[in-house]
Amino acid sequence: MSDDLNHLFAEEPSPADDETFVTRVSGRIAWNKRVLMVVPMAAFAVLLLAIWATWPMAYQLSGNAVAATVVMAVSLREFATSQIGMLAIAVLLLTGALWLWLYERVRRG
Amino acid sequence: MTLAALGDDRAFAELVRRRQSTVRGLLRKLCRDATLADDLAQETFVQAWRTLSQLRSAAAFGGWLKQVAVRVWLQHARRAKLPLDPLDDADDVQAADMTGGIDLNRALEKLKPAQRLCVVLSYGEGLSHGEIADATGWPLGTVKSHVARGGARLREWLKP
Repeated sequence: MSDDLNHLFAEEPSPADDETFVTRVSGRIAWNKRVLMVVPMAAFAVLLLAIWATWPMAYQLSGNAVAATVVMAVSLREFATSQIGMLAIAVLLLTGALWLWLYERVRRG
Repeated sequence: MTLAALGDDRAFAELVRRRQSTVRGLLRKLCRDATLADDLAQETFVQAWRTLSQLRSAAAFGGWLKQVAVRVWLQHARRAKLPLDPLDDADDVQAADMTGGIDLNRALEKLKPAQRLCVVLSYGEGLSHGEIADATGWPLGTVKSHVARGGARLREWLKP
């Protein structure tokens, strides 16, 4: 039943091979490659420019960020080695273990 | 194929040279405008170049390229706001105006875009209903309905 339509479609001529088409596709691919290479480089250049333009502030900001990270790490270490910290960690671990055990029991029915 | 997947530009250009006729032919049946169809065919090859590494088997390249072409056409259809609702299968009023004596391309133009896509992929490209459903992302039942109704309309319009 569908043979008549298949036959009609098969009779339609296909477009002739065209070297210009191949050249245009190659051109678009080359453009895509250039964009893929240039965009990260341009973004990096803009970042450097922004750092240079706002140097005192950028320096202070990065210094503050590093200092804040150090303070946070020291505070966490002190908390973890304190009595209340160790108790909190133990409770957390026990709760986690209990939750896992119960979860497995429920999952297995 | 392998060289093209590894980024060899000349190997990919050779693939374009060999497959251009198939892709351009498919898109010309889907678009009314040959220039637009060629532009979408170029976009198809650019998208294929970007995602070629995802292709598992070289033997599947032909079918995979058709799927990319369908995806590109669907993107264009959404941008151009063509009526593409796959569930909208109601008869349109234009059907009454069509009489015998028109050619295949003109008859295809008169089909609804979703029906045209399914009919071209089924009868023109020989894809199964399942393959069309995979390529378009539409439900299998909808695809079957589009192929059956679209095919029936074409037969009616094209009968001498």
